[in-house]
Amino acid sequence: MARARFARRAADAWSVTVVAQQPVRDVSGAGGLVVAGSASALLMVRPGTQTCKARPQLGDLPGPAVAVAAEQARPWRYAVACAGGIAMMGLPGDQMLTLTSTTPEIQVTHMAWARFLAGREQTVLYLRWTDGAVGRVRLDLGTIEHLHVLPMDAIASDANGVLAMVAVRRPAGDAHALWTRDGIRLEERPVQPGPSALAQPAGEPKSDPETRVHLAVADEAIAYAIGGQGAHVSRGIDEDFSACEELAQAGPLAFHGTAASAALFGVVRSAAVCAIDRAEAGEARDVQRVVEIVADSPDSPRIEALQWDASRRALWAASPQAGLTRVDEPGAGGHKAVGPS
Amino acid sequence: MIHPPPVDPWTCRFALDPPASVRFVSAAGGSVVAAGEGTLHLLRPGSRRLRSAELPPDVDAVAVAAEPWSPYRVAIASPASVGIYSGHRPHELSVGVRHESRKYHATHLAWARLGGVTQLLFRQATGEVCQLEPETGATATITCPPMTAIAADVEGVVTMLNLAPVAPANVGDAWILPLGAKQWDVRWVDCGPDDRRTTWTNHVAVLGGAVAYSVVPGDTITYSGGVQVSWEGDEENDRNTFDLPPGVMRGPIAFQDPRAMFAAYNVEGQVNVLRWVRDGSFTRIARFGLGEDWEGTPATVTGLAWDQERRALWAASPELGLIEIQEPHGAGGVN
Repeated sequence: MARARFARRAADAWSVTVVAQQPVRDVSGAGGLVVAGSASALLMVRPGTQTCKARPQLGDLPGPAVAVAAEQARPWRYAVACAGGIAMMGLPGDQMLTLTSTTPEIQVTHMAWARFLAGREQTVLYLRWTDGAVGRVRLDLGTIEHLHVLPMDAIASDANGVLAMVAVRRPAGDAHALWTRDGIRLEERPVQPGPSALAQPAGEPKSDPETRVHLAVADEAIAYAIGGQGAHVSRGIDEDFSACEELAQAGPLAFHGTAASAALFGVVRSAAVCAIDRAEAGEARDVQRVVEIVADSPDSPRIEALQWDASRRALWAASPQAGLTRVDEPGAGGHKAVGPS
Repeated sequence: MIHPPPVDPWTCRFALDPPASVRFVSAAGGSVVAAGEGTLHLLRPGSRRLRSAELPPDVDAVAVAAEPWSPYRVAIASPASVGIYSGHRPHELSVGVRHESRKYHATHLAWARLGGVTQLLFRQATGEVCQLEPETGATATITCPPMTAIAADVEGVVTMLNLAPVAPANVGDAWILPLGAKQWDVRWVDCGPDDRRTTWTNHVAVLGGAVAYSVVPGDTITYSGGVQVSWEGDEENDRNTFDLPPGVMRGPIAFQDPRAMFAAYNVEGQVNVLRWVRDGSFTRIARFGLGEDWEGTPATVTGLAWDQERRALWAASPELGLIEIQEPHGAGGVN
C-alpha cells in the first residue's frame, strides 16, 4: 500500500484557506453554489463569487443544521435540515418552504439533489431519515414521495444529478447500493456488509447506529465508508466493491470530478492528525496527502464532510472544530477568499 | 418507386452459451431470474452480466419470482419448499417454508405489497394461497376459494384466478388487488364447475388493471387451451370482461404494458412468440424450433417475462436455454 505524501514541488501543492472559523457539520455545492451549515448560521458562496456570506439560522426550525444540500445548477435551490425539520430556499419569488417533522425522533440525516425524469426532466431533493427511509420532495405534487427501497444508510448525488444510496447495515446478501441516472430505473450492486445495527451475531463488533455512513458518487463510480473504517469503491455497475487500501482509515469521501475514473478524496484521522488524502483510480494507485491538520489539543479536529467544487476547482471541508475550509487544486489560479460577513 | 423501410425486427439472442435447460423465468424491477436443471441464472438491476449459480441439491425449482424492489431477493419454489434467497452470491436462504407433504407444493409465486409490507404469495397445488413475510418469516393463508394460478406485477398488484367455481356458482372469477386497495376487485371468468382446466398448466399475468390467463392442456390433440384477456376498463368500455385475442394465442404469457401482451405458442416442435396490441396489431416477433421444412431442432418455451428496464422479453426454453428478445431500438442486451 502506498503511503500518502505531500507534493514534492510547491507548484503541485494544494493551497488551504480557512473560510469560516465556526463549527460546521456539512457542506454541499458541486455546481458553484456552496452551502455549509453551522451551529448558528448558513454559510453560502454564490455561483461565480468567492465571498462567503452568512445567513442567520432559520427561525422556525430549532437546532443547528445537520445536513445541507445545494442544487448543482440553476435555479440554485438549497435546503437545510435541522432537528425540527427541513427548509428549502431559492424557490420562485424568494419563497421558503419549511417542512416540520411530526415525529421528532425521526430526523433527516442526508440530502441530495438529483435528476428525476418523470414526464419532464427536473431536479428534486432526496431525503434520507434516521429510520433509513428515503423519499423525494415532489414540489409538483406537493408531497414527499417515499421510495420502495430497504432502509438506506446514506444517499448522495454528483454534479450531474446522478443519485446513489447504500444499505450496508444489513445481513450479507441484502447489503447493496442503488444507483440511478433518472430517478426511475434503479441499478443495483452488492456491497460488503458492515456491522449490522439490526442483528448482531455473537462475537461480532457492535455497530453504533449513530455512526455516519459517508457516500460519494461520480457517474457510475460509488464510494462509501462507515465512520472512519475505510473507503470501499466500485467504479461500474458490474464491478464489485473493493476496499481502497490507500484510504483504509478514511471517513468522509468526495470524488475529484464527475467521471467514473475520478480520483477519490478521503478524510483520514488519528489522535494527532486529521488529513485529507487523494487516491488515484486504477491498479497502481498513487496517493497524495492534500492537507494535514495537526492537533494542538489531545484530540485532532474532525472533518465531517467533503465536497468537490468543479467550478472553483476546490475541495470544501466541513469541520465542527476547524470550521469551513477551502482547499484549492494546484494551478487552479488565485482567488481572494473572504470570510463570512 | 420508393419502398418504405422494413419494420424494425425484434432481435433474439441466446443468453446462455452453451445453452442450458431453462424452464422458468421472472423479470421485475430490472432483476431477471431464471432456473432449470439445478441452476439459477440472475441478471441484477442495471447489470449486463448474467451470472449463474448451482441450486442447492434439495432444491429442484418449479417456480421462481424476482422481487421487483430493493433488495431484489429471489423466491424459489421446489416440490418440498418455498424459499426466499438473497439476490447476491452465495444466495443464502433468508426465510423459507417446508411443506409437510409434496401434495402441498407451491406452483406459483408472486411478490406483493399488502398494506405497504412486502409479502411473498405462493399458491399451493391444493389451491390454497399463502403469504410469507420475508422480514419476520410469518406465514398466513389468504381467505379465498381454491385458486388455479396467481401473479403480481412490478408495482405489487396481485391477481388470483379461480377456474373451479363451487356450486351454485357457475362461473369462475379473477381476483385483483389494486395498488393500495384493501378490497379485491372480482371479474367473472367463463367456466363451469368441474372444469378440467384446473388440472392443466395455467399461466396468469397482471399489469395494473389488465389481467390475462392461459390454459395449456396436457393433451393438445383433444383439447386446445387458449388465452383470455381482460383489459383495464376505460370510460367507453368498462365491462372488464375476458375476451379472446383476435388470433391464436396460447402458452406462456406476459404483459408488455397495459395495452400490449405476449404469448409463446408451442405447436409441433415450433414456438411462435406473438405480440398483441389492444385494438391493434397482432404480430409474430420471433420463432424458434423446427422450420417450415420440418428441419432443425424441436423447441418449446415454458416461460415468458417482460423486462421493462432493458425493453426486452425473456423466454425460458428447456431446449434452447434463456432467450432475450430485444425490442426494436431497445436499451441494449446482455454482453
